[in-house]
Amino acid sequence: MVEVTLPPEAEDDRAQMLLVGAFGLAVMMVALALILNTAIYTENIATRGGDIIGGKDAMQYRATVERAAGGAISYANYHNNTTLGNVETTATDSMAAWSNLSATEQGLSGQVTNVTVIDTTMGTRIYQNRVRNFTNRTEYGTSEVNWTLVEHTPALRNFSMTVQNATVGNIGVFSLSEVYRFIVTGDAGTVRQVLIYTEPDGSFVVEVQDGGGSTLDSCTRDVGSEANISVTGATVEGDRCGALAFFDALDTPYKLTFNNTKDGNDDTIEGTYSLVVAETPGDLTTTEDFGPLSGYDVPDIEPAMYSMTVTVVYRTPRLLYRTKVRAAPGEPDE
Amino acid sequence: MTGDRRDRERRSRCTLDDRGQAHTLEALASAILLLASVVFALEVTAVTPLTASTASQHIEIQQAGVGEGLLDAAVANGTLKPTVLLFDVDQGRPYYSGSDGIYVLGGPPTTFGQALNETFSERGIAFKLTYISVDPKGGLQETVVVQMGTPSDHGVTASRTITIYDDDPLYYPNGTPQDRTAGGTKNFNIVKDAYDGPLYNVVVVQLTIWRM
Repeated sequence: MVEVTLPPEAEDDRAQMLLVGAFGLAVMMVALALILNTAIYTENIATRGGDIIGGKDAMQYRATVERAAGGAISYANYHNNTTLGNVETTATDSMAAWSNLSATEQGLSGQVTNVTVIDTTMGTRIYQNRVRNFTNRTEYGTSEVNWTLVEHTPALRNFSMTVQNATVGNIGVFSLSEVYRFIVTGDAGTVRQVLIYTEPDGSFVVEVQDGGGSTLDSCTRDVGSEANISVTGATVEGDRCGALAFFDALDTPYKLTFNNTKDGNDDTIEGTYSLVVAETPGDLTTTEDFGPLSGYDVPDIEPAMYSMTVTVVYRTPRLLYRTKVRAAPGEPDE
Repeated sequence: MTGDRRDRERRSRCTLDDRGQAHTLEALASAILLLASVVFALEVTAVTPLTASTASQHIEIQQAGVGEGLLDAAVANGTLKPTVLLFDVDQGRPYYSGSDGIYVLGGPPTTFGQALNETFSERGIAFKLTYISVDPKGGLQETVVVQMGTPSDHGVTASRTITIYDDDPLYYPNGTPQDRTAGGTKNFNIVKDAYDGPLYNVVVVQLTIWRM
């Protein structure tokens, strides 16, 4: 008969436990290595801050378009301002050419872009280019000491002036109510008066008062022979002047008046200024206060573009971004 | 009966057979198996490619961030345009550049070039600056301005777009504008006039950075 029971010698046999144990350990070590790899890779992927979709590039492009549109407006206002139509055509053609050139370049890295002008707002640039007092048009030796530059404009931007320090009224000589100020009146009757004068010690002051004459804020600076004031940018000589950031307290339409430009026969201020309003020269009601007038230096107006709205399309294989951008360089921050 | 018990005791203490060599073989095999698995596990972990080293992904992302930040600052400060419009009209190439108009030791001699050198060269990071514009025939013109070698596999690129108009002046290295304008200078060949009207060209300034 065949023996089918285990021979007695086999009772204590370990049945290759060593080999099986070694196999088990080997498999466990390989599994551990696999887990370690997975953990390292997951941590690396999770801590990458990268912008996978490319949204950052789309926002970059939007900012680039806004700058380009502002540049196109400024160029057309400066160089091609014979008529309103001329300004508009130059600026819109410029943006169309910009769109074509930029699309060619963006295509190099796989983006499809397009910029189209959808709306323009035309306006007027009011300026005085030669150093002179701040009265209006002088005709036959008469000019107004207090005069209105613009009665009701829906908006105004890029208002800056350069004043001659020596001619600015000194409150050691004049009283505070006699120095030059310009007044911006909002729709609901809110008034902001901006006084410009110098102190007896020579420092240059820009003071903002409300309609009743109480001081809201002021900036004092030491300036050289000329002071550059950016009203919409709220800076004096390049440094921020928080007092000038008052446009958010006023409702449109705005009215702008220059007061106390002379005291008797003396000028209270001399210099140059420039601003762009959103009323076209045809709609402006104060055109008789402006030149040109041959033989006399006077403030002047010219056609200008106030703002331009464009549609930007930015497309990649992963993303489609479409938005409207409005460019109005020098508009006061709201 | 007692003979059986003695027999059993004798057998439980030592087994008389010729399986000793098989046991040795088994021990050797298991030792080799264990050793091989340990060596394999150590070699296969992905420590080097993914953890901190000069070739890792994190370094690339960090350098891309630095490059983009530098370009953004240059655009905001207004120092990028004077660098693009830096041109010596008499020589027909940018100031202090080599005879082919390329800088090889660092950035151009402008404020932006100085920022590039301070940020990158002093840290052992090389860079390449290219202007991509459209040429009048409609194709693309790539002008290399700074070439400090060939980028490695781990190079990253950052780019910004600026617009040049016909009446933009050319600049001297110290940032002051010249009397000549971009549209009015015939041999200003880094960027060419691509449009008849007021727009001169749209330039993509591309900065490639890699660790030397």
